[in-house]
Amino acid sequence: MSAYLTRRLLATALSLLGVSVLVFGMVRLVPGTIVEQLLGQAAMGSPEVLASFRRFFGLDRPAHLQYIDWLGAALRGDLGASWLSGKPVLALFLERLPVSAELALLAVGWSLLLGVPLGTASAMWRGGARDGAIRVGATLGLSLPAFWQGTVLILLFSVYLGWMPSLQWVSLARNPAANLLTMALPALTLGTATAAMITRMSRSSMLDVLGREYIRTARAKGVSERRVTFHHALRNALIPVVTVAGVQLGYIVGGIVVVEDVFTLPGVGRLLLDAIFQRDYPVVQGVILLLGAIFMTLNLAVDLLYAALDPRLRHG
Amino acid sequence: MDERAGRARWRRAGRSPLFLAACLALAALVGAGLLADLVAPYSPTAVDAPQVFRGPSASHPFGTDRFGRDVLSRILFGIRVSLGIAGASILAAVSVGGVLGLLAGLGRAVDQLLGRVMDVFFAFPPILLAIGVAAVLGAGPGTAVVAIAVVYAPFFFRVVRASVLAESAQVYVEAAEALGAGRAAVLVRHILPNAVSPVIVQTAVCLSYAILIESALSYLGVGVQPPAPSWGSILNEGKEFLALAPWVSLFPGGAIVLAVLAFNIIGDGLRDALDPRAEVR
Repeated sequence: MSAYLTRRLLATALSLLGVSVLVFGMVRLVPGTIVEQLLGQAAMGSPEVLASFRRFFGLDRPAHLQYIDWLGAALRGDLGASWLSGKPVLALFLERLPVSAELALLAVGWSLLLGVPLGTASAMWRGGARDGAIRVGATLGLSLPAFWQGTVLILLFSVYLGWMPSLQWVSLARNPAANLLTMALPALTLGTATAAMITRMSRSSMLDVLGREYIRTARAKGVSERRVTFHHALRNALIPVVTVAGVQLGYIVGGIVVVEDVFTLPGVGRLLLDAIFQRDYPVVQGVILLLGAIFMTLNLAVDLLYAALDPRLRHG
Repeated sequence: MDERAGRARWRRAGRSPLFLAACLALAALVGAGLLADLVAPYSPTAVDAPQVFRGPSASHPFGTDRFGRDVLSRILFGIRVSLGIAGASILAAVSVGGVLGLLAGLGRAVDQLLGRVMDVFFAFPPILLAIGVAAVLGAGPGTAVVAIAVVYAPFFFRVVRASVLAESAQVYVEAAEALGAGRAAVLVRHILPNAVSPVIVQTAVCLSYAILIESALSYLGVGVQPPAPSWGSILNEGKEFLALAPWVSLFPGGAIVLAVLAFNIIGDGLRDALDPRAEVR
């Protein structure tokens, strides 16, 4: 286990380093340097102003030195400050994080609650009409763009039915009931594709396990079908589902940006989009770096969980 | 056995009504996009002030938007933009990812290096990486193509690399090399053809994701910009007037779902037909 752990940790550290290079380089690839974008036409006539600005942002130094300074500061938690508000990027991010984290957790929660039972049921009903309906439903769920699904839900529940007249976000601490009400539709939207993927994976994993020798042995011993399904098969079938959950985290973390835009939630996705439109590059850079790091950490956690659940992997 | 089993799987895919319906729907979409000049009732950009925000009617089946433009015509012309960007970006991803995947077969050092570089791209959630690329390059259709290609090239790298590594261990490769064939020649002539099936399956699946990402980028305002009609940019223009004119948002979304669903079903069908390991499903 420890060799596997070391290998995974090293690989993650290496990828994180690559991510930091990419994110650092990203802003330097912006057509027309940032300084010129910031200052606009006014500075073009004055090389002195331009030079002093470049010096101020450290852009006059060689790129590798800039990178080392930037990385060093980032490792100490200093991701620079917003060009617009002057607030530290990390503080801006942390301020918005609870909204996005709540959204992601709710989405993962409901997609597991729906996906695992549906997938299991689909496998039990293999080949029947109900199996067919669940499989078609899962394919449909994978094909719904989140922003459109969110739009349809808003139309249905807020505009036509009037069940949620106000979509104004309230913080969880201030009014838990109102907060959960406003988070319900966004979480539903964000989790749909994941629920569909988990349904598919649970089904095929369950079918795989049900064909194994030990299931036949259990049935031959006279174990009830119910116990075979839930005790013998499902527990083993869920292990591969964990790996899909890892991939799905990518769609959840990325989907946050889209869903927060549709439902105008004040999370990190909204922060990123606003920063992009306002060309607030330190914020763009910082949010992408932090979201990438969070995604990688979650992925690592999923891999380790998988290794803990499946002994073959850590010894293989 | 392979030849006959393969044909049997193809026949099964050909008999599946869902697969056939998906192929037909896709053909109809592509046909309507190519012939948009003939089939669209109006110009996609013709402003008609007296006809602003008209609901669906006989003269405007999908209604009109805030400039009185015909939504159906915009969706029909949007097929070119949305499917064109998806196609171009996946073509680029297949080319770049495929070549790099083949190169990984040149030796362990190259494989390790390329693998680490690809890991960096896999470290980002797909849509976030695309948004990041769009933030750097600025909004526009070209940006969307590059952004989606950057996201999916690593997927094709992995698929081709896996085929290359699996085939390299086969006896026939050893035989070809013993006969004096160079590594590059073996890669291209003997190993590459084996990667075709998995690449085709991956292409269908990635096309569905590409449509989703392009429309998401355009919906968010960092992809195709109005007035150019992409399905996502039509939705972007419709979102402010959702309660007033829901048809502007509903119909293009339906087009996205139709196209994505078609590619998903075709991808599943191709996987069943081309990938014997998927037999259990």
